[in-house]
Amino acid sequence: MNQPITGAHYIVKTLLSKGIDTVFGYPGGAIMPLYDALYQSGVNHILCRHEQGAAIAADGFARSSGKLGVCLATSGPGATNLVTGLANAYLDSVPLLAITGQVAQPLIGTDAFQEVDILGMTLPVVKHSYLLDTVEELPQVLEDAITIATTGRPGPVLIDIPKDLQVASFYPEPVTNKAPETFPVETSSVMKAVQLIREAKRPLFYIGGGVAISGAETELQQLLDKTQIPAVTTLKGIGSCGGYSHCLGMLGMHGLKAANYAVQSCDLLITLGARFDDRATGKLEQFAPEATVIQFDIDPAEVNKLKAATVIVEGDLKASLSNLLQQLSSESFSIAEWQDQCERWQREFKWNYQAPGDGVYAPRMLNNLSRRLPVNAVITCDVGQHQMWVAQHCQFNSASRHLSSGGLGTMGYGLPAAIGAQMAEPEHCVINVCGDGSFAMNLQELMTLKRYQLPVKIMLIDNQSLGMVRQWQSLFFQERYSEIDLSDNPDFVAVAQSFGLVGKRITARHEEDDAIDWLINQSGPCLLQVCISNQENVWPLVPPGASNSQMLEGENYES
Amino acid sequence: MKAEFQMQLNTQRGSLERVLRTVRHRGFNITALNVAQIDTTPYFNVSLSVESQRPMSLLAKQLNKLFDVSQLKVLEEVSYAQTA
Repeated sequence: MNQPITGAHYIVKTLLSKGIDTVFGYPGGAIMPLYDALYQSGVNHILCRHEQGAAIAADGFARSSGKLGVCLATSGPGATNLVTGLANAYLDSVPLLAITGQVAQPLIGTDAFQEVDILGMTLPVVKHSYLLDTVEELPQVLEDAITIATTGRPGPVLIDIPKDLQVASFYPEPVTNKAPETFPVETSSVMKAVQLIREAKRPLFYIGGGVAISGAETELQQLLDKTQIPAVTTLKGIGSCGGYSHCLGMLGMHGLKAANYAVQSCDLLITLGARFDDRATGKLEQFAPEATVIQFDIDPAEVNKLKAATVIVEGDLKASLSNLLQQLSSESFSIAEWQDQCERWQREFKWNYQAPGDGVYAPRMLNNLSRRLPVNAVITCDVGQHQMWVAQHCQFNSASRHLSSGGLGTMGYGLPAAIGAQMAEPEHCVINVCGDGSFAMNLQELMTLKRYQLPVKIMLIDNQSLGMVRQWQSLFFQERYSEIDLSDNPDFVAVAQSFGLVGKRITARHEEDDAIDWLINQSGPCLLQVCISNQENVWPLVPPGASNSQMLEGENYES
Repeated sequence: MKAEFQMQLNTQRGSLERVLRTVRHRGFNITALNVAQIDTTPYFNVSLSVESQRPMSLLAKQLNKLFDVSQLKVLEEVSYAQTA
C-alpha cells in the first residue's frame, strides 16, 4: 500500500534507488528537513566547507566516474555560492544535480531571511531548472531532472525546493520515465564524411571533450589505429587518443607547435565533439584556412556556430564513430607524405626540458611526475600557467584522468575537484596540481581532506604571483604589473600542516626527482610546495587576435 | 536580419524568462512580443519578432534546446537590404 512520505524523505529515497550514494553539500536553515532525512539514511554526505567547493566536488566526482554528481545547499548565500560551480559544469557539459532549499512558499517574494531568486539567478548556467510548486510534483521533477542532466549533451540541473514542501507529506504517484532524447546515426552523412576522408591528402582529427562524454574513446582509438590519420586535441580532449603516436597534442593559444602547424596546413579537419572555442582557434577567420570541415556533434546548436562545416553528422558520437569505423574498414589511405610532415614537426618541436639554471623547471617536473604516476591516476588542475603546463607536458590515457576547468576557467577548481574524484575512485591516485593564486581560492577544502582522510596529493607550483596575468602584462601591457604580486603568501607548508596535512617544500632542480617520489608515496593528504621563478612563462603563446600560426616562443622552448 | 519566431511554451516557472534571456544573450533584439495562455492548458502561445546581424538559425537552435519550448517555427526571415 502506498504510504505517505515527506518531500525530504522522498528525495533521499529516490537518490538511493537511483544508486546515488555520495552527495556533496553544506546544510543551512531552508534545507534542514532534507539534512534531517539524510541523517543515518545510507547516503554518504561529504561536508565541504563552502558551497562552491561542494558544487565543484560534485563536478569532479562526475567527470572522473561518468556518473551524476549531486550537490546540496541552503537558500540565499548557500545557493548563490553554488553558481560558479554550476556555470563551470554548464560550460564543460558535466552532469550535475543541484538541490537547493528555498524559504517557505508564503515567504517567497517577501525578501525573507536568506531568500534569493536562485531559479532566476541561475537560468543562464543550467541545462534546466525547477522551482517546486507542490510536493506532489516532486517525483516527476526528480525523474526528469536526472534524465536531463545525464542524457544528450549533459549539464547541470537545479531543483529549488521550498522548506514547507520538504516537510509536507504526500502519497507519491508513479512517475513517467521521460524518454531520453534519441540521436540516431545519420548514415548518409557519415557516407559523405567517408568520401571526403577518402579524397583528402592532409586529413586531421580535431578531438574535443565530446568524445569522452559520449563514452566513445574506444571507438576513437580504433578509428585512429585504422586510419593512422594525425590528430590534435582540445584541452578537454586531452587523453582521449590514448598513446596514439600520431597525436600531436593540444592545439590553440598554448597548444603545441606541431599541433597548431598541422591545423593550419590540413586540407580536411574532422571535428569530433569540439566547438571551435576561441582559445582553440585563435583568429577564427585564419583557423584551418585550407581545410574542408566535417563536424560530428550531438548538439545541433554547436554545428556551424562559428565555423562552417561542409559535412555535418549530428548525433551521439559513440554511434557515429562506430558507423564511421565500419564504413572505413575496407579503405586504405595514401597520406604517408602528410604523416611524415607531422612527424617532422613532432621531432623538430620536441620539448627541451634541459632548462638552464639551478631552479625547478615546472614543465620538466610535471613531465616526470606524469611518467611516474600509476596507471589511472587522476590529475586535477586549477587555472593559469600550471594548468597549461599540465596540458602540454603530462600524458593521459583517458580524458577522465585529466580534470581541468576548460570553458569557465575557474580558479579554485582543482582542490574540490580532486576531492570529488577521490571519493569516486578511492583506490586511485589523485593529484591536484595548482598555482599559489588558485590554491587560495578554495583553500578551506583542506579541512574536507583532513576530515575524510582523503589521500589527495597537492602539488603547488608557487611563483608568488598570478603568473598568467603577469605573463600577459609583460607581453601586452608594457610590463605594467597590476595586482599580480603574491610575494606575501603565507608559509604554505605550515598552512598545510595546520590543516593536518603533511607538507614539504622544494626550491632547486636537484630536489625535483626525490620530491616526486615523496609525493607519490604519501599515504594520506599531503602538499608539495614547488617554488619556481616568477619569470617563467608558458610557451608557445598565440597572441589575442592572431592566427594560430603566429606563435610567440620563449628561449627555453626549442631543443 | 529580421525574423518572427512562434512557439508553444510550457507555463512552468521561469520559462518565459528563459526564452527572453536566450534571445538577449545570443545577440538578438526583440522588436515585438506576444504571449497568451492557450485556454486552460499549461502552454503559452508565444510570438517573438527579433532583429540581429547574426544568423537566425543560431537563435532557432538555441531556443530549440530549451525544454519548455515546443513547435518552434521561424515564420519569416528578410534582410535589411530587402526591406529598405
